[in-house]
Amino acid sequence: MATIALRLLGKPDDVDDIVHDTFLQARRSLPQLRDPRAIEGWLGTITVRVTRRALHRARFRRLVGLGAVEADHVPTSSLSPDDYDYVHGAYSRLSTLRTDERIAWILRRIHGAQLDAVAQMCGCSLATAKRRISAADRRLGEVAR
Amino acid sequence: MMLDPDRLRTLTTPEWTAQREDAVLRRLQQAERPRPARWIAISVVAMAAAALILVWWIGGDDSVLVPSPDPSSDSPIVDARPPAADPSLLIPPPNPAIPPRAAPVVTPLQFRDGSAVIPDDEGSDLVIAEAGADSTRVELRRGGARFDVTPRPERRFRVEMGLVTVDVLGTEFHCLREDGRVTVEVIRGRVSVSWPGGSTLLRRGESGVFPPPAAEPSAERRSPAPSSAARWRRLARKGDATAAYEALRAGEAVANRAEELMLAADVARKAGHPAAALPYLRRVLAEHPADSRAPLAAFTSGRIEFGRGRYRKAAKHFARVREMGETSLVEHALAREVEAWAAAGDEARAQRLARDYLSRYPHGPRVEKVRRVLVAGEE
Repeated sequence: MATIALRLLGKPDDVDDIVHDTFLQARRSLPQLRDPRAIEGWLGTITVRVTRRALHRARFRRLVGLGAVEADHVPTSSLSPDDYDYVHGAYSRLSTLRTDERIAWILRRIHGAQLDAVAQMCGCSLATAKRRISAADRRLGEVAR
Repeated sequence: MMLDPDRLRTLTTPEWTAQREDAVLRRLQQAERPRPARWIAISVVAMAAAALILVWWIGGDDSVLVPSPDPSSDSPIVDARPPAADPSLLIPPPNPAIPPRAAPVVTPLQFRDGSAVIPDDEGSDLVIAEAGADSTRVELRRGGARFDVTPRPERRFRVEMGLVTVDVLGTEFHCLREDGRVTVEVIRGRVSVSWPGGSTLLRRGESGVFPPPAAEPSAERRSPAPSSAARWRRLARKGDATAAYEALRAGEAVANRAEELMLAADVARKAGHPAAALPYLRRVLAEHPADSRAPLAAFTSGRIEFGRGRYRKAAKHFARVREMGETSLVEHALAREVEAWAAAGDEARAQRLARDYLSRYPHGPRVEKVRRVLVAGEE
């Protein structure tokens, strides 16, 4: 869950909150889980749903000018400065995508999920998942595969 | 810029630790719903802001808009001054014919532990002078800001405003620097305010202007001290603990004030000489036992002694924190006392205190550690 959340967000700030909220939702929805063997994918789906909401909230906050900035000198992660710059730059580009395309692309290309798993986590059909990934590929252009 | 998924995969693998897992599990035990209070707070603030704008727009009574802290009330300042409100809403412009301008965009400073500093307006000048694991210093150079500080006893949070400093253990308060004076209003918790020649404790709902008129340093008192005497302090303020410690070792004087003694102790600890901090902390405890920093001095002494393997001494310091009255450090001091007595081999006392802790703080942040001590003792 933390891995999916971090990869979708690109920064560690809200990861613990998302894990927390995912567990809360999972606990409430547990009776709906019919096959206990599917729990991993099921939790992944909830994680993606919770993270998508966080991304929408962040986008809304940016739009209304309430986006928080990191205080100077407050370490944002354990990455080296070069790696931090790279991740920051990469996610700046990813932020230009539509949220659904971004999520599908990250799950497929960075997280390495199978297409059917991407579709399940995104709550869409296989065809839609493929279309979103292709659209993101096109927008990102020169992405190394 | 090429996006390399393999590199991104490596760089976005979280370091998930047992500590983070514990924290999430604790929150899960405490919360049935995901942070509902935040939405309630946002709704309340939004409604309060809307009401203020409406009242101002229709030219209502000015006094409604000026906050008037009432210590007997539970949350007067929150009601009168919403966190992100434009101060221009609180003090209407002289010409009511001029339409209100849009609230300027104010960006809060958000710390990773959840603490936040929200400037009053675009004219407020804030600088993060230090943001380390055990100390955070914010300089308010101009204007005002609301501080919402997450309690972390091992970290000191200080706001500096010229001659006036505010020490925080975990609380919410507002500071305004204006005309050479500083107004401090406490919304939640309590803070210690100090200025040359004095200090005081402000509790929830209280406010004050500092330095108080009677305590303002006279021209004579303001005469500069010999430059060498202040050098260690300047170095410490700059964050150069090593140089400040060397200056102290060279014989520079430390004034017999709790604030100064605590600073000297911090210098010694940060310079890697925790034992050298103990004499300063002892002086705080012996000569300023009523000062608001005294519990922190005892707690820090306990941590240092524990680190040196002097567990009984550490336990006694932690016990002293509890004896000093109800502060936000008491819970942590009790847990640390349990650990110290267990490490000292006094299992009976450790277990008795562990039970005390678990009954008083069943959802406390140190429950797991204390429970482990209890289980180990029973085995």
